[in-house]
Amino acid sequence: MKYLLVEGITDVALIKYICVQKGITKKFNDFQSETHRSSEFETYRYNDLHIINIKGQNKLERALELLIKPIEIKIDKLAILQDADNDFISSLKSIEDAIRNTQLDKSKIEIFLTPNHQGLGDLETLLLSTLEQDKISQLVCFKEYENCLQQHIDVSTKAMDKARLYAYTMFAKEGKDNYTPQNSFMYKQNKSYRDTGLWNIEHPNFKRIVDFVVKVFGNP
Amino acid sequence: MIENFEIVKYKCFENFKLEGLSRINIITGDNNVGKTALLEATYLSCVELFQQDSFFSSLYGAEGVINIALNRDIRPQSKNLTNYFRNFYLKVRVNECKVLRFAYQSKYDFTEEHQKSIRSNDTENEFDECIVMDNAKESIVFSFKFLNGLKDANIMNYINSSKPIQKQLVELYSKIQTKGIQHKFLSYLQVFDKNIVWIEPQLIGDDVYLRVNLHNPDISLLSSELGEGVNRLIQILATILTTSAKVIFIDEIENGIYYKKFKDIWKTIIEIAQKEDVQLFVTTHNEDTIEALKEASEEMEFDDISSIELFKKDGVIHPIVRNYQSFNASVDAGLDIR
Repeated sequence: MKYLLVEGITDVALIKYICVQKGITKKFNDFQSETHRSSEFETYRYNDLHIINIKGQNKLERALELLIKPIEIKIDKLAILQDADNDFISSLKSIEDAIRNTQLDKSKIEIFLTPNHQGLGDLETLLLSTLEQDKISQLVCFKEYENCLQQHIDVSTKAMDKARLYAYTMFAKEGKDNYTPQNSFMYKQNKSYRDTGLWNIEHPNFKRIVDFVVKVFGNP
Repeated sequence: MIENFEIVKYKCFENFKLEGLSRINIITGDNNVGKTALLEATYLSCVELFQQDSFFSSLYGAEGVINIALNRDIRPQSKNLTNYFRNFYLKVRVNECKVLRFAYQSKYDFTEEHQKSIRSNDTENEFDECIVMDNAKESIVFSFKFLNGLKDANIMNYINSSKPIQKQLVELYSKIQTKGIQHKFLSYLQVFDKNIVWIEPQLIGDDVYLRVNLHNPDISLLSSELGEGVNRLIQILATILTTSAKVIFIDEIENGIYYKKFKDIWKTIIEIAQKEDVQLFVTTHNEDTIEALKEASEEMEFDDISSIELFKKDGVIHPIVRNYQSFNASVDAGLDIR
């Protein structure tokens, strides 16, 4: 059994998208969830592959203790995907502390910090880095909005990136399809999923995370 | 209460340890992974201790063995039963310090050393033991030590996965009558089926049956004419309510029972188990049953639950034991714990 712990619903969507693009799954909704949205954690399962949305970095140790530790014997691979945020070393250390505190076998665990397991930032940083922002009208407009906003409010980079990502997905297709980031990879039409075309998974900036997912979920 | 349990050897189990057991223990796992065998081993380890009189009289008289035979659809007193238990060996340790060994094999297989080792487990080591000649060809070797605190219990209860037979139900209801709790029993039963008005035994010819009066339509039927679910519920509830033992075993609890009833069933079981100080070991591979247990325990703020998922890896069975918090979070998260 293989388990990938992520911190949010957009991460789940990106992982599902990568899996389809790389032939790990056949369909976008192969990963099925039987969890209520109000649940503390949410599992998406496809055969022996599991994506668990732990809904926040601060829930990692609890998720490891309650969900993962009891089934350690079942685990072939365990991976953790989180944001590096503004301190890569500290983010990595907090994951390693959680692993140590729950006495899990480190040798089976892979860690990836977005955007690229090197620099600072988060999933939004990664996604936005794959776009040619000066050629996308809503992001050109957003730049002006950002400049104006910063004259009045001190907005954090994280919040600004989230807003920028929303601007990109919501106003893509001239605002005719209102995609939230988590729905911006594939959309459902006539009972099947189609690519929105908003993301190019072959972009070099996606390579590291794609390799990570393939390493965790691909065949040994 | 059994808090931990070790099977040194029994069928597919070898050096198998269970720790962190609770009042309600739900045993799950893939088909054929050994759920029922685990239930049997736990059950046999207790029943033979408590049933020493019947055990001494003969193997086939032992309630435990008969129940196991019925559960496995083997007719007692048959050659198949002998074959089933041939080369059977059970060694378990309960609550860390109590050891039971139970072997059944041809007497010709016993070496002198084996016999010596059996005899060495004498009273000095606080073991009681005996060799029972079952027939000319077979022998039972049995050595045991009483479980402190559980010694006085004289009946163990094993509810197998099939529809209960009338005789069992009548015997159980008779115990309800002896305790004078017919109305209480009825009120629990009516939680699941308000249509049941009254139950009483009836002599028909030489046999006794349970007769059930219904409200709508206003008719009276034998319990055997009702569905399997009602009969299972009568069996489960009556067993928990009347047991003088403190441990009850239920194999495939979901059989015959409509899934929407399960939350109420668990709530009733939890309530009775607490009041009567009963520990339960229950097997299931039904997701609705597990989900219902979680919901019932949350509503009742009852956290004395463990789940035991059996998982086979490289031919060895491993237990995945979850405490209440872990069980609850795993079910809630949609992890498959069956």
